[in-house]
Amino acid sequence: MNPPSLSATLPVDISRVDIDATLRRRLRAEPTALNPILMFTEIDAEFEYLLWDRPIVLDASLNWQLNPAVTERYTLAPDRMSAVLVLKDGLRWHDGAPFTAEDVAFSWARIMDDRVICRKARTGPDQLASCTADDARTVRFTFRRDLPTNRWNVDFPILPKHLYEPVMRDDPTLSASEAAVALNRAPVGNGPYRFVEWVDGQRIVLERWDDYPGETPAFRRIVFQVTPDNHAALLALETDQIDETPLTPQQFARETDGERFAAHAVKGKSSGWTTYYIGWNVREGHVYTSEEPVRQAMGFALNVPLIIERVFFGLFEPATGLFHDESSVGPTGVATTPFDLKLAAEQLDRAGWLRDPEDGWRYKEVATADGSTKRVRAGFTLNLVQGSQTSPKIADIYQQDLRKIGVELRTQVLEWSVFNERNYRGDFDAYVGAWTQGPEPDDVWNLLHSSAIADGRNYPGYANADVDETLEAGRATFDETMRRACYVRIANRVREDAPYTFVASAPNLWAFERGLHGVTFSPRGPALFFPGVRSWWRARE
Amino acid sequence: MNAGDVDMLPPRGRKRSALLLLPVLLLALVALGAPLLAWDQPIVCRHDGRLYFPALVVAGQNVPVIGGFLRRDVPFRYPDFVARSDLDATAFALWPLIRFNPDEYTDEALSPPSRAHWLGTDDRGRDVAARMLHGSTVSLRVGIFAMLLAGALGIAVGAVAGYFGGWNDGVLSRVIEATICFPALFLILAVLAWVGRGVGAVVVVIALTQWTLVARLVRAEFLRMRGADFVTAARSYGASPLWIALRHMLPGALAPATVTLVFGVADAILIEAGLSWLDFGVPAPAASWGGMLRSAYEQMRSAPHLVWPPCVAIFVSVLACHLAGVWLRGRIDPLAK
Amino acid sequence: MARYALRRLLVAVPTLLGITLITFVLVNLAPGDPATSAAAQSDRGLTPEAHAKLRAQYGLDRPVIVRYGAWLSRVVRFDFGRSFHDGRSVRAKIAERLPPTLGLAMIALASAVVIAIAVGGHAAVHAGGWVDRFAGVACFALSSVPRYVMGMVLIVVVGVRWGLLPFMGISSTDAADMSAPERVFDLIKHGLLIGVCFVYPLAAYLTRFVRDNMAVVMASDYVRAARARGLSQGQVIVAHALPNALLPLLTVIGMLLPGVLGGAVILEVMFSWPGMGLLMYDAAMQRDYPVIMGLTVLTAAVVLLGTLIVDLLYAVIDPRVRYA
Repeated sequence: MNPPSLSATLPVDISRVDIDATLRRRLRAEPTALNPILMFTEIDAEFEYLLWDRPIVLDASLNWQLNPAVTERYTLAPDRMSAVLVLKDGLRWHDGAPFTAEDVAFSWARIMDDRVICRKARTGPDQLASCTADDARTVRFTFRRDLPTNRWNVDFPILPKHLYEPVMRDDPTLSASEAAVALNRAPVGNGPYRFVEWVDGQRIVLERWDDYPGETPAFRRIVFQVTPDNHAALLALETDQIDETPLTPQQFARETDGERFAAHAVKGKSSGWTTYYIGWNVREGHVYTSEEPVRQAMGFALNVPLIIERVFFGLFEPATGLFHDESSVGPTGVATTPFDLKLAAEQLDRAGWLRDPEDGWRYKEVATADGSTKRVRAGFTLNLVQGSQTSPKIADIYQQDLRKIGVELRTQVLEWSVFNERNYRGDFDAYVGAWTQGPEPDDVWNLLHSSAIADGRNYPGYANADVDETLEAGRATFDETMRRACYVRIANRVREDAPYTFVASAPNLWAFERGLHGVTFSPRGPALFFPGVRSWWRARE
Repeated sequence: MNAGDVDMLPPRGRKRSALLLLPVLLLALVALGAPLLAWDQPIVCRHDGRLYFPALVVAGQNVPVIGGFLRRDVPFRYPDFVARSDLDATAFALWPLIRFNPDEYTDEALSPPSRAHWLGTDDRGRDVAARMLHGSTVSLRVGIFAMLLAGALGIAVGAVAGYFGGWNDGVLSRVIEATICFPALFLILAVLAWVGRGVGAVVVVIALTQWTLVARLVRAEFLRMRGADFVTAARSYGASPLWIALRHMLPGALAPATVTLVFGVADAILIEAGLSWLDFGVPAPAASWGGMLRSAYEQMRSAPHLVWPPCVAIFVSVLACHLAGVWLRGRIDPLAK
Repeated sequence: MARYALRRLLVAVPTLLGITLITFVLVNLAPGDPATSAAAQSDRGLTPEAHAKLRAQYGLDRPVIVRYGAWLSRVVRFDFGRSFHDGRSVRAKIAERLPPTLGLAMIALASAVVIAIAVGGHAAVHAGGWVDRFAGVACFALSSVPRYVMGMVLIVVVGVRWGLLPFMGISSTDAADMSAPERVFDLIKHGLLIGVCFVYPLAAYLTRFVRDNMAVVMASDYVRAARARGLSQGQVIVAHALPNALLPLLTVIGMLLPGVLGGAVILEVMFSWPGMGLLMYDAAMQRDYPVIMGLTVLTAAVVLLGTLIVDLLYAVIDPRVRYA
């Protein structure tokens, strides 16, 4: 359905390509720091993929791949408890210093140093027992356990040791001194683009690095223009000021069909692996949401078709669970929950939440700690992140439907920091969240395993011995069929226990300037994979 | 800058006509009677042989104090009772002008103004006219209560500072000064992060940032009156300080304070809508003009009809308060410039 | 006079201390502290021990009052610390955001004064004329239009529907390739819409003010006396009416200054204008304590100084004011 010109691959005849062109990309917000081990947002990742080249990369289907520009080979020891990564000869950083195994070992040590606040980079490398440099080109990894996920665990961002080591002596956090900040704001990488300038609040400019050993990208310059506002971005695209921008569902469905848009731009869409969900607090103190039948009833009362129509303009897909149908776990066969208020009402009746003929709301007598009983009204507070365009709409629709079956939904809009803190402390009834599935199904450990209640993102406090065991089995086995069976089993369990109710999966919605070619989509959008932006090009005029 | 500082009206009409009060009275009527203008249940109807007043009761519930004693009748209080379809169509029913609840979603989303929806519908299919009318309830409630609270606080602080003067005045004046210098936005964010959002929280934060105007005014009046003959006389026959302050000085200070407070209602309405625009206001689904403005902004390309109602509503209510303030000032102090 | 100014400055010190202390305590007690945020954003390392370590790293493990003391001792040496968010020095961050806010405010104020003197002066000289009457109504109506409603209307109509002017940020995407004059033109274009939102309420207010003051002066005895001496209308206005009306205008501008300089958070957020208001908003949302405190000190100091200058100006202009 995407226009064929968009995905046209780079022609063999290089003279057709404008190799001096500038690509003007939209930035929704500024990155926090251009230091790959401190990075944690999607915005940060945009720069990671251009300024740095890791030994291991993800392709368009999010498969594990060696980076041909950096890695000579990766060999797993026969006992699978260690591995050796050999770098290509003659690799350099942007400043000309050699890129060696020492840099890799240094970076692992920094990532594991808990004085460095890495929010994301530690996930994975923390499963390694050690990472050392045998010689300038050979990195040796040793593992704590023999796991299929180890090949992901050796994939982490790499810092130039020769620049960060002096900084580290005075400032082990790598973020709190003048020198560290200067480096984090004018980074030296080894990727196809090198850093040029960062004008605070306005733009970040990158330029093609001529000594890049891998395939040379087509664009000479990339300018990231900070444009937080969606209207302004679309307008900038239509007035030829930027070359690409993600679109909101509303923009994709309703604001990009006019002539003005068609004259300048084309739209692209692909399915994504981000799923909106409602997380329920299953801890005992939360009388209503801790009951499993209640959570199931709440699933029946969620009008997903209407939400998809009104909130997501018909562009999202109903979600079945944590695993997208197109991911390696594949179609799990878990049925989507139907929207059925009658079913929900019956389920609540059975669970003992009965309607009071006086006021129409549901109540239940609940035993309290001191032995007496207390009459509790059926209902919960749904936490929403401030500034979100979609979650309040989901909440509004949900609220209207729940009213009809006598359940009271109260909404609470919280600033992002407070929202996170409440989740982290388990201090909520329910919240609207989003989960982006990674390439490795083991990622769901962090959401479902009982150990992740204390140290992970299992905010609902969900604990199920069978799920724990199956997660462990899935993590340990190398047999692909068996792994898949494990995660299908987990998907079914999660649907039954309903610690999460899934709303819909978000597609990648994008708009590009008409003359842009070579764009392919991954589940993470058109840029955040290998080769991503590197394959984009524009024809010579 | 306060609109009350300078008389913004043309000098011709110095003799302020009571007509200036008309807009604010209309606004108050709309705010109080919003459910009589837009609701999904009739104002009065016959159902199963009995007369019911569902929308009227809802309107009554909006009235402070007495509202707490009113309850809707069965079946109208049931959350799933849909009067439009569940009532006998042939029975007597007097409906509000707009037969939609401001929160309910209809089948038409983002439809432009039509016969059924005078100002169109928003993205969830809610009737914009109904939301605009009910938004006045939130705005006016916030405006009035915030100013009552700010007034009480300001008068108390100002009176103490002005009556006692000296050391008291020094300290309280510093407090007033500090409040003015305080980063208001941060205060608002901090308080809302603590106590959660809602009409009460918004009222409190607005009052906390707006009481200083009144305090300074009252303080100045009290300082001026301290040496006045009637105060000296009262003191000489042994009246208590509290009595002097309440009986003799407060009435004199109250009049200018009231004018400031009426202008302040406009400011409070503005702040409330601004907070809602930043998504810090009264939580959804409560209709608030600022919230409507925000969602209109998000959709201005695909649904431009959403932009104008909240803009006009905010402008008109601010204008109404300003007119009322001008009138009041003319009444209280006819010699005022 | 100098002694009065000095005394006022000394009195301002405890006020400033009080403001910073309260802000500091509020900032630190508000939920969503940066350590917890950082922990909550991480996939792992969410244990209480890890959290305690993070708190220590942000310096949040010591009692609030101790931290306030430490902060204060650095601030007196003009060291406002580093941003929690990106590690840059608070001074540099604020210095970067000052010009957009300050520039906009000063230009807006200057334009408003010019409009006020032109329109208000004309209205006063021709009191009761159509300009007077029209300006009166227009000023009153405009003073009831909230700035952000005006901003919204301008964005919707001028920015999006007509596509005439940019409405986001301070420069175009291709600003890097522009020549210096083009850049200035680009900057003006970006500042125009938000500028209008700053100018019109000031202009409405000052126009009324100038008009009323001038009208009083025009009706005064000495202007009549000057006329009687045979001075022309123009001479009367330039030599007598204007100067007399300008002095109070100066004090009023002084009074308005703090409010104008404080920026406008909503407008800056609305137009993505990279000024102090936007910085304050972002810092508050990110719980960037050092930046919040730095901005608090700066804005409070500006307001305190502004009121002091106004009081001194009053004293200069009106000798009846005693330095009590």
